[in-house]
Amino acid sequence: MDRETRWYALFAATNLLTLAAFAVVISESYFRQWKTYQAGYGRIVVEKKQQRVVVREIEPGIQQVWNPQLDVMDRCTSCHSGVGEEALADAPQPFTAHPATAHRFDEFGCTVCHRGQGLATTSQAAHGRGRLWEEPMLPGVHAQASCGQCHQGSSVPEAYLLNAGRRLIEKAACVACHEIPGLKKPAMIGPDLTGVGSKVHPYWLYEWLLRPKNFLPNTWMPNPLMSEREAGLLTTYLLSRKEPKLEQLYSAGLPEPTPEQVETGKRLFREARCISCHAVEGRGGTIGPELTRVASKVKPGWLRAWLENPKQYLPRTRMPQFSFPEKEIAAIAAYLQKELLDWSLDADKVAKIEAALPPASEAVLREGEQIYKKYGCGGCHTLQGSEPKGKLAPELAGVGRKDVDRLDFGRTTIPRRLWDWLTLKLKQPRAFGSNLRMPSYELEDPQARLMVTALLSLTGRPIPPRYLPEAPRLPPASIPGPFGRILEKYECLTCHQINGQGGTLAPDLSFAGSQARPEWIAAYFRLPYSLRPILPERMPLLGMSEEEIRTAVDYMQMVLLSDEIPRDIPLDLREPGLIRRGQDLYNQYACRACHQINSAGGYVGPPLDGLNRRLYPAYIYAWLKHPRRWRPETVEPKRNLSDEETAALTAFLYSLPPLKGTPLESLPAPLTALTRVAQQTAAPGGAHAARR
Amino acid sequence: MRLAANRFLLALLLASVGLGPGCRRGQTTVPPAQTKTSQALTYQGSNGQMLYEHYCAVCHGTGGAGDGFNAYNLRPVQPRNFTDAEAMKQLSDQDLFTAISRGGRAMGRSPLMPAWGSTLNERQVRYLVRYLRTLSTQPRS
Repeated sequence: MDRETRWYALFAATNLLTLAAFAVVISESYFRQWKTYQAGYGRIVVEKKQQRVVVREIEPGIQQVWNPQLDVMDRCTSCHSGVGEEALADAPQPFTAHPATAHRFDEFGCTVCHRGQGLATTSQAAHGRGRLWEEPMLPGVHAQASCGQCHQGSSVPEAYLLNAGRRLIEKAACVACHEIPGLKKPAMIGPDLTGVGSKVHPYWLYEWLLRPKNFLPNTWMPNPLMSEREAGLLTTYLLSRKEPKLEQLYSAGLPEPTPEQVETGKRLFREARCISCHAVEGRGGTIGPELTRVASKVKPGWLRAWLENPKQYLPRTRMPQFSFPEKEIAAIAAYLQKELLDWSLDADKVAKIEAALPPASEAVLREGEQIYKKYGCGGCHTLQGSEPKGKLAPELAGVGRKDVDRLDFGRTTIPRRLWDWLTLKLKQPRAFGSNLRMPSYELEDPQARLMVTALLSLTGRPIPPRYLPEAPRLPPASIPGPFGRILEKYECLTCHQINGQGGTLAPDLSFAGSQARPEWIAAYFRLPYSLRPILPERMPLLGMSEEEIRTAVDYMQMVLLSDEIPRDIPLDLREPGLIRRGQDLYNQYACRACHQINSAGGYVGPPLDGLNRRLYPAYIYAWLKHPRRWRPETVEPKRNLSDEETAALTAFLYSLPPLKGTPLESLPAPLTALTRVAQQTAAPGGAHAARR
Repeated sequence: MRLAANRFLLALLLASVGLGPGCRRGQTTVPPAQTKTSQALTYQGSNGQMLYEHYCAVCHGTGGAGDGFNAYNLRPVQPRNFTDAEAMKQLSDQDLFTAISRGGRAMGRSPLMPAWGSTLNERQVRYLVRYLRTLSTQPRS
């Protein structure tokens, strides 16, 4: 080839290459992935038509959901054409129908919940799984995290996994060290350690620090993962913190418990229902610590003083101050000391451990205090003089959206994704480096997964005002006066709720005055009995004085009322016709599946004999109409009863006599606590019309 | 010489045209269905599980075998056993939906099964039906 031709050839070649490049680029823009999928969808429409199932056809082209307020421009439906078609529930992806959910995706788009890149039109880019998009699509198991961006609190409707995760985070008290938006640090997480040296046995403290779950398998205290040497130093330091004023009392020698005392104590322990809050051998409540081996933990003098007045040692405890006389306290303490021991403890082993603890010299105490600060014990526990200064751990606001490039994966080889990092962090907190200090909760896989879901909801994304859910109600101020003092003394709000404040273990007392008869309430305070046999928790026997009982009952009758439950309902509940109709309805609706009358029936709900001794008829009426209004967690179904049916059932239930020999028999039978309404004042129609 | 160069250039041209369609990204075939036999429950399944354990397990048992705590009291008909795959095959999803939302009476069976239609909304009943199906296909303790 001569020189000229060579230049011409080169020029032609570069032109052709440019043409080729154009051809490639243009064809790439023309032969798009979504067109393939839309063609596939078209085939499915035809297929379904042959099966006589109607599936909507789509307009060809990019489909888009645009919501400017949520900053959403999602093109997911270009490929996922079948999301709205119920008939395609079992179709292969990407044509599968979306499960029915509370929010319509044609209004909310897809990325609000699923994350990913909404503007993209190829699956790789849209799912955001590459390195270039900061918010990749969430895996299905964590999808409920997005609900938590707008919905605060731990009872978000239909976000069961998120709720469970949030509850675990509350239980684990992560707020002790990490600041979490929306969660306030409770007043007391772990017990106050200021006088702990006077309370516990030395070997117990050492073993506890090495691994708390060895002593209490269900404890929520995390394992500080310290070496044996560190544990020894910290034990000595903590043991030096004694309570000088009460030291005398705690170390006082007590007489050896007699067998009669132990028997009495056992009986009292059972009658006072301590296991409602404290589990023994796995059975019982979880509000207080398990007592299976308590005598191996605490000194007997301390135990005795605690039973007498818990608030003397720990002012913010949730344990009520029972009003036992001194002999009974001695008996209960004797029982606990003699029976609830760690039987596997070897006296030699104990002696060896205690001998190995470092003696309390200046240097040892200083080092012990360093260790206390190093592991951040001050996050959960109070210790006068060693309060933590500054932040113990990074705050968790925005952790749900944290950029993967800012996370330290250490030497691990897990996939480089935010949720994988969080999961490993929760399961093995020190996996990413040897100088980390987060303690280990020894979480199981499902628990860690749930907590990661809850953490992923902390994105810190601002919510547009139109989409803000209802503002949370402010908590009410504490109740003043004598009733308030009773609530404080007996810590009623640990289990019960009043006007939104308190626990959910026991019934809501906000409307107790409209619900239950005062004589029954008073009798119940004097001797609580079990209303529902299948529940393990029972109200403890508090030993309240008569004056306290009168104050509480009067307060309930005057203040804790609901305007939706009138005191008297204008209906004659003694009419035999009405009662018979009620009995027919009782059989028709087969209430005996869950309730017992005269020992026949199920025991899911309380037995209904003698209901009139306990409840007001208007409450029974209101309950039958809408049970979950009064008790959100009840299992009783709402039956959509008419007024007439409800009245008949109320009359029937109100007529049931108490069983012979039960406490209800001793309560006064209700008088005609009903008013007959004269004909002329009757409201037209409905069961509230007067009956002659 | 020229002829060879021309043929070479022609070949290049044809090749570049041929590149276009060959550069189609994306799949021409639809990927296979996501099988639902994985151990973890789907969104609907886990919602259904939460509802089941709150409302149903006390009679039907936590494993769905009809041996719940209260089943002892239900005479003469015991609660249905959901782990019996043969029996469950005979019931359509619509049957299950009706039984849950309108009660046993609406199916001509024992009135001891209450009607939950006023307590649970339609979506929740569908979640339950989904979960009940998994009890016969993925047994759990």
